[in-house]
Amino acid sequence: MFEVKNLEVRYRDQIPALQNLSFSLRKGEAIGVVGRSGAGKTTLLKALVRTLPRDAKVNKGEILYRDKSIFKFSEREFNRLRGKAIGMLPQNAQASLNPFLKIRKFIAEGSRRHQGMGWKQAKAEALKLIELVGLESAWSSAYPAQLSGGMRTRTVLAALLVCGADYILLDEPTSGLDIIAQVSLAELLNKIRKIEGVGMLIVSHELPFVWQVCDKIIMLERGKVVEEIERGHPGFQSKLAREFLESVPRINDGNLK
Amino acid sequence: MRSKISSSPYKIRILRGGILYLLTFLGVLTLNFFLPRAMPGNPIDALLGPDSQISMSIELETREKLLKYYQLDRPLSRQYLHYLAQTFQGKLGWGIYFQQPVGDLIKKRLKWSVFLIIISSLLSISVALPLAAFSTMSRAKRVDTTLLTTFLFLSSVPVFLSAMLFLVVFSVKLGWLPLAGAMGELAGGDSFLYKLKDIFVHSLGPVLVLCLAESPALYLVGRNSMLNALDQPWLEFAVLRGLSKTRLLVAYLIPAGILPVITRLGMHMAFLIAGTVFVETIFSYPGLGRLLFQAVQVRDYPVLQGVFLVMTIAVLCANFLVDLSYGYLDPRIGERE
Amino acid sequence: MKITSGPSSVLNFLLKDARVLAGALLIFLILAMCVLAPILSDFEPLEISGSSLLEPNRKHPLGTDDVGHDLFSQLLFGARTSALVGISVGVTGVIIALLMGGFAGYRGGAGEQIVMRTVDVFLCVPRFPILVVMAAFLGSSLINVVLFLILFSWPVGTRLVRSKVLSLKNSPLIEAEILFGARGFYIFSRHILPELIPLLIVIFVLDASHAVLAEAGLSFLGLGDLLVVSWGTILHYAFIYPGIFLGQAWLWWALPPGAGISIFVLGLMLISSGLEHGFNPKMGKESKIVEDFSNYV
Repeated sequence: MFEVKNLEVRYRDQIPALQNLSFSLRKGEAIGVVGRSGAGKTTLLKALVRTLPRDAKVNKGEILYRDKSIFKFSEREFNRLRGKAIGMLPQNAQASLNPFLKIRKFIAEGSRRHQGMGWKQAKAEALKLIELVGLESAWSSAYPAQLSGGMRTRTVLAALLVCGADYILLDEPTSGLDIIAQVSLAELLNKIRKIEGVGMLIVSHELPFVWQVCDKIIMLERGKVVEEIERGHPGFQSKLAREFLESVPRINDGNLK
Repeated sequence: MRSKISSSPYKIRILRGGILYLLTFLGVLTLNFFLPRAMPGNPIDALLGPDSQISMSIELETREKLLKYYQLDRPLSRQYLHYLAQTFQGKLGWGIYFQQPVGDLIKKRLKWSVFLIIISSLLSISVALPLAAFSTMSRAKRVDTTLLTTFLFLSSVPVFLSAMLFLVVFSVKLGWLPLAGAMGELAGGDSFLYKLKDIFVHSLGPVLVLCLAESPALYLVGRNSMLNALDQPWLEFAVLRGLSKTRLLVAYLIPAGILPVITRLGMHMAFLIAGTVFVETIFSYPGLGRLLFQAVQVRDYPVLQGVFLVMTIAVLCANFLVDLSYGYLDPRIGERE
Repeated sequence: MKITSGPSSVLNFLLKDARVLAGALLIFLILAMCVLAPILSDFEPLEISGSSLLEPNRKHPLGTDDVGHDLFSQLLFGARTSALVGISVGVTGVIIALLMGGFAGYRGGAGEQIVMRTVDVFLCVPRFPILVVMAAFLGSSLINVVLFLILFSWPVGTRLVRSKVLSLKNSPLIEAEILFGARGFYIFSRHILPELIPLLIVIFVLDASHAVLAEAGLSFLGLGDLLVVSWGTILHYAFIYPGIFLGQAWLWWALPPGAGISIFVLGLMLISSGLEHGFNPKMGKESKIVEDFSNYV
């Protein structure tokens, strides 16, 4: 399980991006992270996969994976964990496809790397995942340039899932997706959570979407946890959370319980 | 369906390119036409003038041939049409000094130059791409800086200088490589393998020097595009998936570098052709470049014009091929179904 | 890091860059040769001052060529030719590029099309062969060579200037200025022109170095001005001399002018490379991901 303890991250030793942040993520658990722009959501995700930019430093606190600090791993060791233990769907998912590869091969890279499969086997596995994310298998020999935005997001998701990570971080997975696509994405994530027992951390602006998947929501403001609520809880308590809530246009009220 | 294809931006670009090259070719043809007529006095007198090194007895015969080729007794427009017709039939005039049809001369020499250019291009790419990838991936900044500086330095050495140095060191002082020619004279009746080795050894000098001249530019282009690729989200995602470094190199960095490198090589065709002029001259390699040099020495104007024309065609073809290859090699230029 | 603005700080910053300094040093060396040529050399370069093929000695620091010319003075005076060619072509190239490219980019319309199509045609033609042919037919005096070189260098610069002007023209600042009623020429001189200066310097270096190499190449083939000493012509005579490589003579005959050309071009390229680096500090920056993952080789 992932444990974040009193994490502090600063940019250029001055600007605090995360302050005294603590929470834990278990397998099979789904936590949503919401907040205004610049609240530190992406920074948190990047810290968990150790891809913080050069000018960001972890000053205090710990991130523990299975009770070992992730910062104690060597780069080589940690890279082994990336994809296999923890995977991240970046914010700019649509641009995350290798333009030179057909998507079947692109997805197959993951199986080859993490399950030691040969290309043939990996490509077959990739086909399964293409269907899982809701794409027609005819697209498997297409190049990214030929796909629409939503299709690209699904492809990237498939490429991520094929690695078989126990924990998945998603950074604004709903950007560029229409409502129907969002709903099917939520269904897909739930399915994965149920079947594979994957732990998820989802950063999003879309509260309805978040509530469809997550058991718990953490709200960040200026790098600090402002509020934490569980599903089933009557609603946000703090003033800030309420304001945030009010300012988010609600499409489907029914899930906000 | 047809209208969709013809309006695709890729095809439009090819068409525009094609028209441009055609126009340029016509322009060059016209230039070629006017140049001998721009010399003071009668072109034939000028061509056979004081610089000519031909003995008197040949001169009359040559005069006649030239007269027939230049058609000076006809009006200018007729001359021009005759010139165009002759050119398209491959009749490029009569070599005053060489006493052969220009076309024949060129045909004999062309294959050696083409050989040099192709081999050195392939070699340059094989050298520049891996080094650029190595430079990009290497953590030690010093490696990158050293390579960069070395190549910068190399790119400022003029081709004829490096050719001369190479010749002196490897052929004269060390005697490893032959001094001249494309094949040894004794290669006549020997085995195919021997001939192959012979040709290889003779071409080593010119090819290596040309490669030395071309690689820096390709390295720089490759390195730049690979560095750009490093900033791309798709590379970041590959790292996020924990892909191996080898995979990143092969499927992420090198593809990013290939297209710009090949494009740059195509654009440099003119530079390579100019390079062959010097390299072949210094290594006494019997190609088109050396022919140009010899023609300049003896002021054999028809040969000069012929070689120039062929070189221009080669460059235009190379440019056109590069334009074409863009569509095939770059999957990012796709067409939405 | 101090944040100052204006040209003085740019110059300041540039002078600290190792590449620019090194390049400037080399250029200074060449220019010194040009200026000090008559002082440092004891003989006229085209005067027969000794017997042929003397080895370097006190009278002739670089020996003599096959006719008896002093090679040292040839080297020094040859620098003048190269510098002259390089600078004149470079400056003219920049001026023409600025005018044509600026016009094409700023005004646009039919004029732009005419200019750019002409540029396209010129850029298609193989530059060196056409120089050879033109020099052979139309005469290879120095003036001619310079004119031909200018004829074939202006297209490159023009294209670069035009694309830069286009991108600048579309910037929000310029659009705002236009909304405020600023007139064409004012915008151009106050806002676009200063932004072009780095590019113009790069174009100068490009044109100058190509010109020096092309002139040397032409002279090497025998198409230079034979009345003028040029590094290329020295190499030409050296190469024509039979058996030049079989002795030691090439060391002091062919090597110095060749090295001179290289140094000149290298100096120009160092300055340009250093400038590019200085004006574009983003190049060379790498994200931490890459730095980290490149750890594990």
